[in-house]
Amino acid sequence: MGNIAISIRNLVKNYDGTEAVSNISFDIKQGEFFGFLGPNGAGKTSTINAITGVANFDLGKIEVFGNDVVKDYRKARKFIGLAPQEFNLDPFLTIIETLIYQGGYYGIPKNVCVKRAKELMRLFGLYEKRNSSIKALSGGLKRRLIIAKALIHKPKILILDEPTAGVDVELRHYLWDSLKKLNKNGTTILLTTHYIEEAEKLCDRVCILHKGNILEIDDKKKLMKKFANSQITVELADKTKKIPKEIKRYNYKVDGKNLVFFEDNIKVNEILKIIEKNNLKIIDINIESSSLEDIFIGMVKKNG
Amino acid sequence: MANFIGFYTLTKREILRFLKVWTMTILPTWITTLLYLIIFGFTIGRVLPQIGNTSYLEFIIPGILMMGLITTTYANNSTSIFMFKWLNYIEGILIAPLSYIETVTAFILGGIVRGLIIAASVYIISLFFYSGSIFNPLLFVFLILVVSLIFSSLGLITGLWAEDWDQLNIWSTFIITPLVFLGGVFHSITLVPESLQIITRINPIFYMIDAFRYSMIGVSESNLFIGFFIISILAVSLFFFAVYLFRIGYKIRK
Repeated sequence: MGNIAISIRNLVKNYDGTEAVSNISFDIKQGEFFGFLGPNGAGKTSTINAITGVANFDLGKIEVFGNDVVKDYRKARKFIGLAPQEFNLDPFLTIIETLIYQGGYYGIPKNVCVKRAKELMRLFGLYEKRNSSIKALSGGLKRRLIIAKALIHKPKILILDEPTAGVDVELRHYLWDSLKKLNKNGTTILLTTHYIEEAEKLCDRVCILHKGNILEIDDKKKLMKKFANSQITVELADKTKKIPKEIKRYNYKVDGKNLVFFEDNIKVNEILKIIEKNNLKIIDINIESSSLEDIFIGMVKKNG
Repeated sequence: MANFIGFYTLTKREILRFLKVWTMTILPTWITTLLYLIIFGFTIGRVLPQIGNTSYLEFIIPGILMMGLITTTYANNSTSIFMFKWLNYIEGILIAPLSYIETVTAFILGGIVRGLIIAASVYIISLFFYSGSIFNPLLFVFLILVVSLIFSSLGLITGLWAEDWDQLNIWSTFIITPLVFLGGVFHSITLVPESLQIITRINPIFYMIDAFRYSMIGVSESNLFIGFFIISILAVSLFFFAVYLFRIGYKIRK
């Protein structure tokens, strides 16, 4: 169990008789960048809330570095930093106070909190506004503060629920870089996102949730290999009247002047050799692979 | 292992909160107290007969102080925890490694500190109207602390229960305020018709005011031991009930 950061077994969470999370089990390894994907109502936030103590759960067991989140909740919570989707900032505090107080709740002495708060405020571009009231901050600054707040106690696990929702492109890329650096330095990251591009760029492993169930959980690359559909389109100079017989063993279709191949693991050079051998003139070649987004949409559609 | 820094930080935050908005949390009690003392004690009170050997003004001062203490400590914690829930910053506490006892004690200490500030300041205001002598200082301080604890705990419980501002006000408007006024702030139980005295005697706030009056001016109308018993039971049970509600995440954990 040494290298398991979060272990979830048979987790069930109901809201007013509706099952939000239906008996899911999975592990997140230490140092992983783990992505939680799913449409609205898939159970992503409910699972995160159950891990962090924001919500109770009905059945199952969750451990954080071997500490039960119910029985040993204090030990378990020390390891986790949470940046929730909704702003949850104390309106009575300024930016710097927000960070110092949150660090204090985690039992960190004030002088250490002040030093760490200054580092984080510089990292997230909040330093100039450090004495501003929360009420005076824009949405983007609040988002930065939420993430800085989650990092004040240097957690071993950082949980981010839709961290880039509603932020501009520049900040999104800045946050991506910051998260990559954190992960590289050993922080385990659990990320939920609607932006599949975000998961594709950042995550090592991905879990696709739908209606409280796990549809697929795997290494991102394996998942893409497993479900991706490659498509190679070869545009010919003239419409072919006779398809070379070597081509017929592939899964293909003729679309005007185009020959379209659908199979995965097709060796492009083999196709090109066949075409050249049959004296067909190639104008253009286009290779398309399914993105994680295509796989995600396909899976969710397939499962209603 | 106890999280002393976490507990201290939450307590400090609770104190900071009401100090930052002192014009809404401290000042109104001073003004209300002053008005009560001027109108009921200084003007109307002059024409009212003595209660026993005590002037009417002297009789109502402990009641007014206790009324300020009760309403302030109750409002402090019910509003604070309700705001925590309402604006969702309760999550910052829920995810922190604070025990439920530490959390509740920090909130209650915040209420008690506000209670102490109110009690001290109202006492100072009352010095303009009476000699300021305290019959039993130890009991006086003890009652301020225990009554603050009771109503801070009750405020915490009702603040957890309330789902909107209307519900939050139900308790103070329909339960706390009537019980305070019927508990003998401005009148002696001997002035209440005998058939209605039972209502006063089942009102726990009557025992708090009466014991407090005894601690200040040495005058009591009830059995102090019964009062001490009721006050102790209330303090312990409300505190642990608040801890229990936090433990189960009553209306705070989704």
